[in-house]
Amino acid sequence: MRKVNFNALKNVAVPESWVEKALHAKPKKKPIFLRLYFIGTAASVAVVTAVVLTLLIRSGGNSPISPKTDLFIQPSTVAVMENNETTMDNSATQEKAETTSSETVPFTQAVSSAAAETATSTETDPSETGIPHPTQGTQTTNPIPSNPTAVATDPVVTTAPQPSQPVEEPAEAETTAPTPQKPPLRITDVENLVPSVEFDDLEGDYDGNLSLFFYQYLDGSESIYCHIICNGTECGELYSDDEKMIVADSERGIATYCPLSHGISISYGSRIDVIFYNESGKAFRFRDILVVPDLVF
Amino acid sequence: MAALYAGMSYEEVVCAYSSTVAGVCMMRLQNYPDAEDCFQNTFVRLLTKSPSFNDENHLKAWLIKVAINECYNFIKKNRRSLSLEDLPVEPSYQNDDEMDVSWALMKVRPDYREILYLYYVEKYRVKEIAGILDKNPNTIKVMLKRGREMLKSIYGGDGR
Repeated sequence: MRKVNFNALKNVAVPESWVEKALHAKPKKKPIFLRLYFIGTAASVAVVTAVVLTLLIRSGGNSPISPKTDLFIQPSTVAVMENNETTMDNSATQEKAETTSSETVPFTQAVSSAAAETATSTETDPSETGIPHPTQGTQTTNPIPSNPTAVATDPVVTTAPQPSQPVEEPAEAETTAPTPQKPPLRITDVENLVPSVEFDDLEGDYDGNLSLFFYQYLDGSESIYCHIICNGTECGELYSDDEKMIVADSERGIATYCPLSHGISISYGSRIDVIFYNESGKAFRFRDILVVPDLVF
Repeated sequence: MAALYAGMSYEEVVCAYSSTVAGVCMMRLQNYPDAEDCFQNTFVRLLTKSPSFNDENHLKAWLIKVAINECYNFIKKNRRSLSLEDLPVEPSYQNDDEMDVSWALMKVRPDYREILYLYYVEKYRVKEIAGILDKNPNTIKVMLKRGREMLKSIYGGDGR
């Protein structure tokens, strides 16, 4: 049997070309997409993009500032602001006019030109109507009556030259700005008569007072009105002076209203509805009251 | 400035360890063109990685390991059977005895052949072979014994 000499195993002869090629080998450069900094940058960009997109999607419906219409300035508000500015200017001019009458003309001319530019109260002359009316000019947009003295006794307004052709801006302001309206009545029906509301002095036609203990219903700090509906017919205009009640006793909270003194005649046997309300529209309605002598409820 | 590998320049490393790397590649692939690819890739990897080595033994072990891995990767990519008949150029042998043993070695299974090569040709110890191949020394011992038996059965003689 042949002997195997393992130590006779020799290394493989290396061709010279292999060695030469290896000597001239150059280090391989990784493709750019396999380099660490490239991978890191791409991963960072991807992560940031994903986070931003996620946040945008999550906060899409709940933006920090929602475009609600209440936040925008309404045209009427702008008109009121302009009106107030003009009023303030006019009042300032008026004070000057009171102190030095000799300077009235230049001041009024200067301010009247400014007033003509803003086109607020120059179209209506308060002196013609005698009393300031809240529905004149752009003042109609102001729910709170502006300073009447500033308008009625304003020398600027009276001396201001009337523009030959009215500017269109105030007309737009008049059309866009809603006319001031009293708030509609929020009526609460009073089903059962209570002794705090009473008629008195009933003889023949009703000429007595309607008394209201307003502390039970309304705030006495505001004007209290009384509106009467007699046999289905409304006897007065809401929020008019004719319906304003007189606070007879503020400590006890009593307000009175005499219909006859305002031209409202109620005969016995009539069925009336009485609505007591205040400036803010809070109202209490006493329904279907039969007017009889000594009516007390 | 050229990089040094355990105090040797790249050219010195290639000249010193080309036969070792080529032997490892040939033992595994048994094909000159494929072995050349792995041979070149091993040294290119040395250039690209430029690792630091403690000494020459460390460098040699690193080269052998990289060459083995390159051969594994090559086989994995190509998945084809290798045979001795595919050798285009047969290596030259000093004598008949040497030729026969080398021929018989080529007939042994590749994993056993690798261990036999490292043990008898590169003169590595069992522990060192275990370190290079990431195997248990006892496993290397068993494989070495079995490889010898295979070689004897192929060669048809007693081992020495």
